[in-house]
Amino acid sequence: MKTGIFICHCGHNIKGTVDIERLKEYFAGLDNVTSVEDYPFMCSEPGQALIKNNIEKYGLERVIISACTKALHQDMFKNLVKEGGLNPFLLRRVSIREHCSWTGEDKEKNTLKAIRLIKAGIYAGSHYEPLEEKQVSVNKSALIIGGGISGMSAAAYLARTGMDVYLVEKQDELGGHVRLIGDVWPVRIRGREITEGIAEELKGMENVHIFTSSRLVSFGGSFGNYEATIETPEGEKKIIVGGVIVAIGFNAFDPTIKPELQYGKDTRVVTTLEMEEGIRDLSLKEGARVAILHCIGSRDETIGRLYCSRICCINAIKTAQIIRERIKDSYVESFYMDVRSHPRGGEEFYEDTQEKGVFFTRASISEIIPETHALVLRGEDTLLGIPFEREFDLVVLSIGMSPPEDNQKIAGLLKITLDKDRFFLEAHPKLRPYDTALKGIFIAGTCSGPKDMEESINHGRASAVKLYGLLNLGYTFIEPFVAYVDEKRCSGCRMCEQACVAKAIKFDENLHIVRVEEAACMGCGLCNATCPSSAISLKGYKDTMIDDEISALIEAV
Amino acid sequence: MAERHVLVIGGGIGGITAGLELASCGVEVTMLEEGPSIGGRMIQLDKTFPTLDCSSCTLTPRMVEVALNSKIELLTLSTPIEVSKIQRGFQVKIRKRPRYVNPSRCTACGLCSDACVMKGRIKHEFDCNLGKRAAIYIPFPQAVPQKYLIDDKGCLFVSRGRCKKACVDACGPDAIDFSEKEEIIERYFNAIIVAPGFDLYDPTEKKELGYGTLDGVISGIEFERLCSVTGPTAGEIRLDGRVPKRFYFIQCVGSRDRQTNARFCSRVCCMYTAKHANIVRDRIKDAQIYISYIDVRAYGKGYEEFYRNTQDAGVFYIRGIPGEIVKTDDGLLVRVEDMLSGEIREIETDIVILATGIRPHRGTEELCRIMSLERDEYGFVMINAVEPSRTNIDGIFVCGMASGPKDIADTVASAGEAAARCMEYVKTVDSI
Repeated sequence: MKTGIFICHCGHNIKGTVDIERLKEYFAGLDNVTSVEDYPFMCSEPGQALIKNNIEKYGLERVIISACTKALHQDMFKNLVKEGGLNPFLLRRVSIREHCSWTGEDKEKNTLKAIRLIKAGIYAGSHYEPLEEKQVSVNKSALIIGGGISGMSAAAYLARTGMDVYLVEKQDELGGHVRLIGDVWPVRIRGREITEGIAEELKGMENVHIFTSSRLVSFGGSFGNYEATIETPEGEKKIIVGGVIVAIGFNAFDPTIKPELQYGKDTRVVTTLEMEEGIRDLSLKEGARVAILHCIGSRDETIGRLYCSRICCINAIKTAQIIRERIKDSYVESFYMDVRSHPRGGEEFYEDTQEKGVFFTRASISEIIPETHALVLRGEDTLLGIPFEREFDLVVLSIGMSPPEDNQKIAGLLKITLDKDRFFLEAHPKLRPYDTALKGIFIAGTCSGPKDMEESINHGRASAVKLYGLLNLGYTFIEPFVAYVDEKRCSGCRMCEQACVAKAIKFDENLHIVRVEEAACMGCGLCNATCPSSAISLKGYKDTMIDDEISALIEAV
Repeated sequence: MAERHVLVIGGGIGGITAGLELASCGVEVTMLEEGPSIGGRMIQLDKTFPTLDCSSCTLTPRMVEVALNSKIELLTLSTPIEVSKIQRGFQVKIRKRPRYVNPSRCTACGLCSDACVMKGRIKHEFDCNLGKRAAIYIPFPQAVPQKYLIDDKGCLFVSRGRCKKACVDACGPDAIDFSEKEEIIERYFNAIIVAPGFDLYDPTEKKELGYGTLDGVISGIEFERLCSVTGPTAGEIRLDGRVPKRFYFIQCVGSRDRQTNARFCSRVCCMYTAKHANIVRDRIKDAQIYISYIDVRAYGKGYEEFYRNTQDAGVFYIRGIPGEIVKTDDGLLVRVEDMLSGEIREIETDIVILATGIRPHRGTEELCRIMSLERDEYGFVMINAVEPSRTNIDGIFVCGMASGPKDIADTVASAGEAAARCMEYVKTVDSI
C-alpha cells in the first residue's frame, strides 16, 4: 500500500521539541511508506501544494498528515486529498502537536511518542476504506404537535416558507394557555387577541392542515421521512413529514394535592389562572382583603417539585396590582420566598406595584383555616422570624407549571426523552435548547420547562427556522460512518436494537437478523459495543483497525 | 429564491447562532465583529451554569463552524459606520481596522509573539487586564480566525515608527504587513441582525464597595478570568500571588438599583455567582464562602436545584447587601445587615467578588444612532414581547443581550427567532 507521510514543523511548535529528522529517517525505512516529507507549515499554500503533488506523483493510496489536531483544518485537508484524486476518507490525521510536542519539553521522549503516534496512524490507515457521503431526499413538510403560542408561532413561520404544515391540537380550539389569559403581561391585552390573529392566518393558508380535537397515535420513519398517524374526529390520517416540532405546553398546577390550602373546598381560594378569566370585571367588595400566595406548586420539596415555574411571580404581581387598582380601599398582601421579577420590565413592575400599596411579605405559609367570616392565613414572617395569623376575604394561589399530561405518551411515540421533572429533555441546555437527540425533532416552548410567552414564541420560531434549515434543500447528506451488519454472524439477539438511541436498528422477522436504517443511524457505535457476536460494526471504525492501532502504540520502536 | 445577503453585527453566541441559522437556510451572511475574534462574552467564561460545563468546549465548535461555513463571510476588527435604507434593503459602510498580519499567510505558530519586544508588557483586555501580552498576539488560543494581530497602540513600530521588528524576522511565512491600512467597505444587504451584546457595570462609583480602591475587591468577570484555564493564572484561583481562603460574593451590584439608574434585574448574576461559589468549593476545599443577595432568582431550567446544591455545599447566603467594606491587617472586613436575623454582621474575607450587572454594549448607542433604532430608558434596543426580535425599523432585527439581559439559552432562542423574522423579511425583498 503506497503511503505518504507529511510531517509539519508548525514553525517552532513541533520542531522545537520533536526531532523531525529522526522521524523522517525512521519512517523512510518502513514497509509500505512511499514518501516522507516535512515542511515548516503544512497548512500554508506551499505545504498544501506539496501534499497534492505527492499524491499525484507517487499515486499514494493513504495520506498521513502529522501536524496539529484533527479539529483544525480537517475540511481543508480533506478537500486537498480529494483534489489530489484520492478518496478523502483515506486521509489520516495524527496530532503530534497537541498530543505530543505541546505536552512536554523532553525532545527524546516527544520524538519517541511522535513515532508511535504516526505508526498507529499508518496501521489504522491501512484498514481504511473509501467511503461516500450518501444523499437522501427529505420531505419539505412538518408536523407540529400542540396549537398553543409556541406551536402556532412555529406553524406560521414554516407555512410562510411554503412548507406543508400539519398542526395537531387536542383541544377543539387553537390558542393554548395564552388564549385563556385575560390580561397578558407586559403587552396588557387579551390573550385571545394574540392567538386569534395567528390562528386566523393559519386557517387561511392552503398549505396548513389544522387538526383540532386530534392526537398523534403512531409514529415511525427517520429524519426527512417521518411517518405519523393522527386520530381526528373524521378518522385516522396518515402523513409523511420531514420533521416534527413538539409544543404540547404545560398543565397548570393543581393545588388540590396541597389540602392545607383548602383549594377546591372553599370557593374563596382561587388560582391565578381562574382569576384571568374574570380579571377584567372583578366582583370584590370595597375594602376587600386579598392574599396572593407565590410558589404554589413550585420550589416545594414536600411535593417533590424543586424547580421554579418562572412566570408565577409576575402573574402574582400582576394580579395584586389589578386588584389594588380596581377595588377601592382593598388590602392586598403578597407572600413570597424570593420575588423573581426577572423579565424585561418586571422589576419596574414589581416596584410600581409596591408603590401602589401592595404589601410584599417574605413568608412561609403553613395553612389556610376557613372561618365563616374570613380565611385565616397562618405562617411565619421569615424576615422578622415571627409567626402570624392574618384574615383575608380571598386567597389567590399563584400556581406553577406542571409537565404536560401527554408527556409520556409523546415521548414514547417519538422516542425522545423526559428530564427528571418529566418535561422534555433538550439536546444541550444552552446551545441546543430546543433540539432533541433526534435529527429533525424539536421541543419548543413550555413542554421543555417553564417559560413566559415571549420565550415560548422565541422557542417556537427558532425551532421552526432550524427545521427549515434542515429541510429546505429537499435532500440531506448522511455521514458514511454508519453501522453495518455482518449477516452471517448476527444471532438475532436484538441487544443492539435496545442499545440504539436513534432507533435505527430494525429486526427482520423472516431472516431473524437485524438491519440498519442508514438514514437514521447517528454513528454513535453503541450497537457495536453491545453486540456479543461482533456482528455489527461501524464503517470506518473496525475492531481490527483499533486493535492494530493499539499494537502500534505499545510495540517497541 | 434569489441570492439574499444579511448583515449580522456581532460575533458572540447570539450573532453566531443567528448567522449559522441563516446560512443553513441558504442565505449569504456577512458577520461583523469589532474585536479580533468571534466568541463574544461567552468565550471569556470558564464554565457555564447550571451544568458547570466548560464554556469553550461548547462554544468553540460553533465558532469553527462559522469559520468553515462557505455562506458566511467573517469580517473582524470591523464596525458599521453608516447605514442607509435603500428600497427594502440597506447600504452599509463598514470600517475595517488593519490587522497588520496577512491572514492567508499567518499559521498562528506564535513565534512572532515570543519575539516581540513588548512581550509580557501590555495589559490583556481579554483577561480583563489581569494578564499581560505582546503587541503581536492572538486574543486566546481558540480564537477564530486563528490569526495573530498587531495592536496598533501597543506596537512600537506602528505607534512610534521605531522598533527592531523582531516579529518580522521571526515570522516564517512572512505574514506581517505594516503597510496595511484601514479600509472602508461598502455593501448592500437585504436585512440586518443586530447582536452587539453587552458590557458590565463598572462598580467604581459605588465607593462603599471599594472597587478600584481596595485590594481584593474584583468584579465577577475578572473572577471568571482568574478561574479560566486560558486566563492569567491558568485556572488557579490566585490574587496577587496568594490563594484566597475566604470569599465574599455580592449580588445585584448595578442591578435593581435606582442609584445607578438600573431598576432592571440583570437575570444572570444570581446564577453566575452560584457558579463561582461552586468553582471555589471545587478547587479550594476548605474555603469559606458567603453570598449576599436580595432575592435569589434561580428561574431557569435546573437553576433552583443548582442553587440548593450550592447551599448544600456549605455556601452561606446572607439576605442583605453590604453597606461597607474596609481594609484590615489581615484582609477585608464586610459589614452587612442580615435581614433574616436582623443583626449587623461583620465578616472577614480575603476577596470580595462583585456580581456586576448588565449594561448595553458601549457601541449600542452609536449603532442605534446610525440605524435610527429606538432604545429603552436604559439604552437597550426597544422590542415588544409578541415580536421579540423586531425593532422600529423594518428589516433590522435584534437578538441577545442587546434588547435586555438574557442567559445563554435565552440568547440562543432569541437569535433563532431573529433569524426566523429575518428570513421572512428577505423572502419578500425585491432584489435590486
